Amino acid sequence: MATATEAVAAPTRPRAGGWSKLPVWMRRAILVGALVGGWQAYVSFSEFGGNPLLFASPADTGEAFLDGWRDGSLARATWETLRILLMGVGIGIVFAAGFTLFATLSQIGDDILTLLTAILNPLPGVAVLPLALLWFGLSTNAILFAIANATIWPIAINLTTGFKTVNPTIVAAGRNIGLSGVRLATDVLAPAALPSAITGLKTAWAFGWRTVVAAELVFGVVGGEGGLGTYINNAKLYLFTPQMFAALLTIAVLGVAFELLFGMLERRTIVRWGMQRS
Amino acid sequence: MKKVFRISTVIGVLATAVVGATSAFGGGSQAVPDKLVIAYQPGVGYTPLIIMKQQRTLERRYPNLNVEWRVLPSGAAITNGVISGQIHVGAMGTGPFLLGYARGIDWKLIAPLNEGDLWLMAKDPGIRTIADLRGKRIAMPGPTSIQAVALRKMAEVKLGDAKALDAGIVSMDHPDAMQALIAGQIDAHLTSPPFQFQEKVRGAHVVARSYQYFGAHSFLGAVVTQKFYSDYTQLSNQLYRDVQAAIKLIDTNPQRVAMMLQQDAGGNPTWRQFKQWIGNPAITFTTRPRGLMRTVNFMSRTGQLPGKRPSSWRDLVFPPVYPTKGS
Repeated sequence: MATATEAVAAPTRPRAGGWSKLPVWMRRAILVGALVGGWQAYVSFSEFGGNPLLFASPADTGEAFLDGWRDGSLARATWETLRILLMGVGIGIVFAAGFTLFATLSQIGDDILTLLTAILNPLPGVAVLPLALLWFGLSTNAILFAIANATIWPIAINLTTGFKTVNPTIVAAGRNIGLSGVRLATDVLAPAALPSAITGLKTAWAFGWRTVVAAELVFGVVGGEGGLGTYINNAKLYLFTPQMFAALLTIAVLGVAFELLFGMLERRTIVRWGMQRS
Repeated sequence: MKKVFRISTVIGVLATAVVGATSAFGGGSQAVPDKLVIAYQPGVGYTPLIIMKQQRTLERRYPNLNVEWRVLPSGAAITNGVISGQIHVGAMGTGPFLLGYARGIDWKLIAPLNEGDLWLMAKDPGIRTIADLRGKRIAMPGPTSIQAVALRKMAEVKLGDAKALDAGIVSMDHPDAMQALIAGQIDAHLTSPPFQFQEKVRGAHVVARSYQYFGAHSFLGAVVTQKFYSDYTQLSNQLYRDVQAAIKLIDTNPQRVAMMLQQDAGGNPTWRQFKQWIGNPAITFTTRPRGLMRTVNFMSRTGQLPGKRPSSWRDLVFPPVYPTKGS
């Protein structure tokens, strides 16, 4: 969000007429309005969009969204997805921290991490799911494995890069004022590596989020309480198209919410410390 | 002037009627689409269609017709194909068909295919009754399949709650589910012929049969949309007659049919095996719909049929099926 505002205000951008003079909220409201208008027009005027089994109108989607949150079904699905995602990312962070420590302490650790990342990072999260199903059976563990695999590598590689690229001058300054060992790590190295750590976390979160929804879609319904992917799948099976749209809307809203959350985290830390421009 | 006007009106009306009639015959009932996509699923229940595929019945009757056969894992998948216009004739279980009808897909049965007794199979000797299945994983093509409807009936009768076992439903096509059951990855499989026969041979046992709970009931049928039927009425009616002829062949020459099935399967299983399967009393090939309204009533009573409700079995079939005196 912060970067978007900055881009709009950048002096290099040629000065547009009235549009850029409008306040940000109004520009966004107009764009959202135009989007919904275009959507409604598609529903009203095209054959494909007019088929309620294939396409839901904004009003139907809104109704399904509100109904889903009112009767708790969307809330339960969202919570289930987030719970698994948090667990998976948690596992990913623990392993990534271990790898990073190993890689920072020894050359062989560094080589192993580089090699593993090169091999495993490009794999899309769901690609390992069939294997995970074979190993862990039809259970949440299989999804957790897929999420962990999707999150470990971006976190580990960013964290390692962050530690490696700490400005030696800053470390020297830290030593100069008498810091060493743990104090040096927590007060100098960790904050200095934080921008990379946050980048890693953001990437991991996005990867994990995609993996968990896709995994639930592959799974179909397993074990009662399903998440958003299962919700979408069930809505498709029972031909409740507006519910599919409502679940997608939920995912989009959550995406924006997390973007804001990370933005806030950045403003509280690295922006305030002057490591990144606001 | 007045008279002229009247005459011209009469001529106009007549002309319109003639043009209308011609297009009804020419465009409506004689016409054949460029391409006809027929989709079905794994299992011997689709034998009448496989006979038509192997004998090239439609291709020979309509030389200009490009017929494409597709095998999909579930009725839900075929439903999506029909909605998006990529599948013209879809064969599926009663569950997804009735659900689609209720949710507003303008489709009906052009040819019911059979009645089928669906068995709930388990391998663990500890699973003997429906009550033993609480908290277990039960595979079937999906939560809207006819198997799921049967499971809910079993749960309602034995456990007092139609949805009691829903949490255990695992969506899998029958061939995968059979492997998973034998390998012990799932606890039970509500299936169909011939998978239930194969599983029995490979060490699984029957926990329940759908006929015990529903009475004999329609299992599979081929559906087309109202639009397809109106556009290609003659072709659709011919489709019904061809299915009827195929069923007659199953009755009169099961060995020949079994050989066609073996050929369709690429040589394995053998025709002896197929002959045994299609002769098993768990499957009866007939175009007469049976117990459709019983299924409708159960599904809507337990909230599985949100939407439009048919008032009689005739609402669910096209005219060629009327004389069968279904239910």
